[in-house]
Amino acid sequence: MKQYLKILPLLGISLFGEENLNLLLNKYEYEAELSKITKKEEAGVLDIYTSHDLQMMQIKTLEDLLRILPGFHYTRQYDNLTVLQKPSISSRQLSSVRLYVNDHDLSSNSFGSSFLIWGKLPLEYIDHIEVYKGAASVEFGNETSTVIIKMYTKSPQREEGSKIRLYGDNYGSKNVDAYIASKNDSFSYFAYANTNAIKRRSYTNEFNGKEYALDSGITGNNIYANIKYEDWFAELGSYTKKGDNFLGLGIYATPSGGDVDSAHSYLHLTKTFSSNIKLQLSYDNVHFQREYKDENGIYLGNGGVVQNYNVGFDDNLIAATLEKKFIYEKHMLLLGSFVKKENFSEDGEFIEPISNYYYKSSYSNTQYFYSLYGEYSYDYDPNTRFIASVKEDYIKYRKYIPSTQEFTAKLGLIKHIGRLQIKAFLTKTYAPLAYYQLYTPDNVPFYSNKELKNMHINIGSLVFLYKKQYDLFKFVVAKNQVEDAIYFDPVYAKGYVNSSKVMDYNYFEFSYQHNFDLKNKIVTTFYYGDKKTTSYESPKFTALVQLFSHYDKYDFYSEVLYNSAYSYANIDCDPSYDVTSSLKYHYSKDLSLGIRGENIFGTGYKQVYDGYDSAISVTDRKVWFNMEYLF
Amino acid sequence: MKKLLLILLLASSLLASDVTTERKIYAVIVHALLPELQKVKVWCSDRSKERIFQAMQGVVCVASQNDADFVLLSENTDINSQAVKFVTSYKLLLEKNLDAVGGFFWQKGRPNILFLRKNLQDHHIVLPQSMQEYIEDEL
Repeated sequence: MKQYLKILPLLGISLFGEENLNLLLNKYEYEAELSKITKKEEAGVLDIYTSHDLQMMQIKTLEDLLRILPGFHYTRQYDNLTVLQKPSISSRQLSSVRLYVNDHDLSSNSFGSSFLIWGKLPLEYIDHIEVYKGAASVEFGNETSTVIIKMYTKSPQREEGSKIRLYGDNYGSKNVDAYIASKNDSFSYFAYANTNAIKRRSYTNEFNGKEYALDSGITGNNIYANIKYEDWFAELGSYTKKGDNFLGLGIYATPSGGDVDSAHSYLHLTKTFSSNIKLQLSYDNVHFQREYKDENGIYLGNGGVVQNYNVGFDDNLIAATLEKKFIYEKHMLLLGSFVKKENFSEDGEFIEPISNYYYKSSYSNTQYFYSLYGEYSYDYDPNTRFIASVKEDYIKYRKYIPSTQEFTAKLGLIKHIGRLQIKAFLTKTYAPLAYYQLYTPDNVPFYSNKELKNMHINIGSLVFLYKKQYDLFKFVVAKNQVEDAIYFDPVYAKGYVNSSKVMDYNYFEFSYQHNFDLKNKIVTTFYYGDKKTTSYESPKFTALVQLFSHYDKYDFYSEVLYNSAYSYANIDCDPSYDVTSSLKYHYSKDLSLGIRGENIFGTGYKQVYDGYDSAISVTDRKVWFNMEYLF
Repeated sequence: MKKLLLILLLASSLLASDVTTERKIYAVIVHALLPELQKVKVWCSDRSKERIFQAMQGVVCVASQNDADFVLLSENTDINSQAVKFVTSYKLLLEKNLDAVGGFFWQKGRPNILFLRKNLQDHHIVLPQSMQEYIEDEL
């Protein structure tokens, strides 16, 4: 009997749990996802891409994610630079979308958008990504924005070990990622390196009986490292990228050379004190060189027509953020300050060999940015939270450009009613001017555009989330109102000017997610944006269906991206269907092999380029082969 | 027989109760390593880990390692206890002086459970069949 008694508890455990240890581990991994710690529900309309999602999708670079980011169309500019479009609006660099790695803001004011350099960033060192829409960046310090993409790096505490990832495609692209992570009681480090050469489909353009190649390949190198010692956290990041400039800037899109060469390096130091005080210091150095050659001419604003167009931007900035959080029962108060000094310069060289025209122009200036901000949240009851945040920015320049002072405010409510969560936000903010808007490269000699004002944005957004055990419904409605919108006037001002009209924009999003279990789910998202005018330069309506599936040693992911028809520059674009699927085979816990097909049927979203006679597919029809090994 | 039913009820209520998954995992591990004990005495080198065991049925936290049946180590410390030792990091599993039977830790981006065959044998522990996949001969 005693023997039985010894065995029976084992039997009991076997019956009730031990056979489920694998399931428990899966559940634990799901529950312990870092995104559950880092997400800030108060910060806006939130989309999360967990480490598990990114792995199943076999995400390679940021553009794989931007392609399917609700609320935007991902496309590329004439010169092959990554750009986002809001539905129904033309492609433009959105300075109001800011990109972060952990707490570091990658955006540079010189060009208004971080995507110019970081848009094709390899993501193997990123654990998860949070996208906040309708946000004022009070919660994240730094400069204001309405959309924040926060990329969190992998944690040495979770990743201890090393990894190598290799992938390539049927065009001959190659990529290598490698990282190492280690930790002990008080010290940890993570170091990552990447190099790649990505090839793209080449197009041609015929002009005056001559054929011109439109290439858009890129090569890049990315390094990231962090060290954590007790309450100190130091990060180093560096990304260099060189790319063909596709159609270029020529009048007839007939490029005969040139490239876009960029580099951004940064250091970021964070010290966390025991009394809820956080101090951050950072240094950035940015170089962005664009060289265009076109024998049939590049229009240079008031400089006439040239064949060689070479413009370089250089930024270096130092910044500091100090925050203190007070938490008392139902109240939370965050007070913070942000200061930045940014030196920026632009050098332009323009040549017209036939007429022997040579022009060189340059400028430099310094921006001083001071900001004070606060956020208060009050839990009225366990189901009701009120949020209020304010921010006052003072922007001063060393010379020429007048100082400005801007106020940002947000009011929010998060309410739970049973399974329903309601989030409501009212935001009053602005988009800071980019230096290229203040000093237009197309206006030589360069001079400061003193009349230009910041663009002011009012946003109202309402989110309904309804959760059941396996289902999640989300409905978002947002209304934007833009005052002092900035546009390029090539005829009169030959530069950027403010619009006197108030622009309205309406946005609707509906998504439904069904979780079959922890590793199998289907997500459908529909979104619609309308700028309320008669001309629409990009699709108004998008539908996205994503299927995440796991069986035995296989991960399967598939997405279908539908964009409605649109017409621009007298070119009609039919509705597009971009089908992307990936399959990953886990040979062992440490070795996996994958294949990913993108734009499988060649019917994906196409971009119209003014001056080119047909729309060009944003995503190539490609097959990627992927190998990952952990050791 | 009453004892048997009691233990079965204990295990079932433990795993059905609304406790964290981490706690459930440790409950399975503790009872699989020490199946004959109705009340397992646990000592944690990191006191913050005691929260995992505090609401666990069939388990009690003790103040001294010498009184413990199961020792959870989060650091390499001098340990004289004859208790079954379990660690929270891969590096500690490599420490010969600790002689740990296994560990539950994050590594390579995923949570891992690992038992060492030799150390299990030294403690005369036989894990059930369904847990054999977590046993390694060497690291």
